[in-house]
Amino acid sequence: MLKINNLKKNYGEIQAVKGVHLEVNKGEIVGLLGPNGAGKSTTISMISTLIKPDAGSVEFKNIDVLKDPKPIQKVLGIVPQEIALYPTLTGYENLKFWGSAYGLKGSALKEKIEIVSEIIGIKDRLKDKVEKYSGGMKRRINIGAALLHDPELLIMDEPTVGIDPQSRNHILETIKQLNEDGMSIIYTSHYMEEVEFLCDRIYIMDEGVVIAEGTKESLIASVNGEKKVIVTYAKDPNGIKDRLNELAQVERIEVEGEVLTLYTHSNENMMKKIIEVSSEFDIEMISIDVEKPNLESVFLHLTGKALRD
Amino acid sequence: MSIFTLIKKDLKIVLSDKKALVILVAMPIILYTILSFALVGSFDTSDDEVWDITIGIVKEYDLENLESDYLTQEDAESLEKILFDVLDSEGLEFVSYRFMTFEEATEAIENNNISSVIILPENYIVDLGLNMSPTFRKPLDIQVIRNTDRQYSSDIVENIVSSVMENVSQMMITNKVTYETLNHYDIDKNITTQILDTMRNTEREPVSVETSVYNIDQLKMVNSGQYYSTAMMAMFLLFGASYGAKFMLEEKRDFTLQRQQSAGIHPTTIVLGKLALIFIIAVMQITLMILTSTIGFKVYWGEPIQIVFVTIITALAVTGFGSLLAAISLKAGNFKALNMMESGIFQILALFGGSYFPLFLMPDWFKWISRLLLNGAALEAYQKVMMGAPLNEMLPSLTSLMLNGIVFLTIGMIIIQRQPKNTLIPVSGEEVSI
Repeated sequence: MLKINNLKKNYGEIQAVKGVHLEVNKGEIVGLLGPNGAGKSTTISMISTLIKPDAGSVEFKNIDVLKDPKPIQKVLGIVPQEIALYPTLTGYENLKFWGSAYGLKGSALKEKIEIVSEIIGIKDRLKDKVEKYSGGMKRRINIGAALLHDPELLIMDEPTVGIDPQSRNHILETIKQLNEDGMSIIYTSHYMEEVEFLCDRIYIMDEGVVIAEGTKESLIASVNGEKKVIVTYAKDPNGIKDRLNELAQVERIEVEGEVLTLYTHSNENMMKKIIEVSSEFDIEMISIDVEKPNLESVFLHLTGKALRD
Repeated sequence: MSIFTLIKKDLKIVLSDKKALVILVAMPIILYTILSFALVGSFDTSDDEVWDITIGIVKEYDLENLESDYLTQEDAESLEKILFDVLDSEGLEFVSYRFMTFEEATEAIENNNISSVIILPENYIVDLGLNMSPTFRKPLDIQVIRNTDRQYSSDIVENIVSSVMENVSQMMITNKVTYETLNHYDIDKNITTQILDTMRNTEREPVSVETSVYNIDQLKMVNSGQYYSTAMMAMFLLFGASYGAKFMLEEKRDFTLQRQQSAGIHPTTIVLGKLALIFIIAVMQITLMILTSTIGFKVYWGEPIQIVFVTIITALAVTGFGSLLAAISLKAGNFKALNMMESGIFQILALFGGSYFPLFLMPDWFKWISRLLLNGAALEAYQKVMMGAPLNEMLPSLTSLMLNGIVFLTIGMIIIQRQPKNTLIPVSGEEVSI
């Protein structure tokens, strides 16, 4: 559906995007994961015809978007990171305007506003001015404005920044539903949990380049991800450390104060074994937690830094 | 999407923006109310003043003892009557005159008892007669002393005197040319006598000045309410243009501009929509000022057709100015430049444009600068409409307005076209700046 080859963009001396390759198939949710400044927004601005790239190509259904942007503009929905709405207008007026921008009018427009406001869950607040909405509601109507014309491809740039967990869940569920209804989605975020939850395939970006690409599982497997078991004791657990080290599945152990962290590649139930060993030493265990390898670990492995650095 | 949908949306936003409405509409009305009451003394002019003009006439000549070999007493009296016949004529019933000595006249001016003084010099009658003959030409100086507290009636007196002298001068030229022509050709004596008789009769007819003192019947002078309604309006038109420019930058900042572009709305449509908005804001400001001042304060703005005409020209000029401001702010990428202009340059423009002090109190160079400025030209144009001035008198200010609009619009569009490439949108394979 969408093919991007060797896309480059410079802002003066700064190379924002340095030769990105990306592909989106019909019905997919593709994630762009990376820290702030990784080049995600610039990449999607080029896809959505807002910025002209310095080099590379963008093809939508085999049409060169840079030469003929109209076909993609008609079926593209964009949810920008900013709340790109008119705060002094009501929710209804905003949706009406953005629907008109995509060529809808009359009863068709009214009907779409009805449907979309139902999907995003703001139907009962449509008469209020957007400036009166909570952060989460603003985010939801920001998404709604991009859905009115039934886009084939939806680009969402950090759509859940700065909102409450309830609104976030609602948005994520909405995105899932839209995808199940057949919409292709490009989802950018620096929240790896969201990308993990939503995306079929993930592109990890850093400093303007794609550093890894694949499904969540393949990405984790590619870096041979370790599982972490974190145990907090009532007192110094150094005595237990040597005993745990004897276990075959344990890669290494770190102790910091009363917290012991055990690293393993094993899928066996390590919690059971740790509890058994700890009971031998008569040290009270306060908590135990297991952290499975995730995209954060992948990013850390690839770049040596955390996603939210 | 049509440009009208964009304009409709923008207008809704403007009308829902209470802060903007206060700045653009309420503030000028409040300020003009305060200033027109506070500075009413600076005007000291009302319709009453203009319709009751008293002139002090100082005759430095002695009609009984004229030193002239060729003027008969009868000729001298008829020459003297040229001016007084005009002052006594039907069209100038509101003008009266008294004969005074120079001392009495200057005292009357100081006491604000008369509008102006006309000083007829010692050789006034003799020189007038001399100039009537075909072979002589001698400069004739008539002095008018103005009463600075009665600006408008002094203007009228000056106009009357210069008009009379202009007519007399034309008569002299006609005499001279006719005599020379008759002398040059050998024309029958009877015909020559007939022509000369006709010319003498023409000289005896009163000089007509009504048309020279432009439309004096309809002349209305501006009072403080009228002055400050136009002055405040002219100043706040600048802020209206600035608001339109800010609006564009706000849309860019909030990403709604980019969102419109990604929806396939052509950048030209977006720019035209914003220019139309600035035009509408300007018309709205002018209309509201006219309505509130007319209904609330009985301000007379002049003939409706002229008002509409000047309003369109002014709003177009403001639109041009707005496009320049929009270009500057888009280039700067923030509101700093506009805020600095509002608090600095706009105040200077307002000062020189006559928004703070009545322009007629200022020296000529100041008035010229004012006329070159958008707000100054707008102020002058509206005041000419209020005074019922003919179109030719409005031309300088209207021309200035149009030039302002064209120059600003051209510069604005050039700057917008030269926006950095990374803010451009490819449309049909081309880069279009916004």
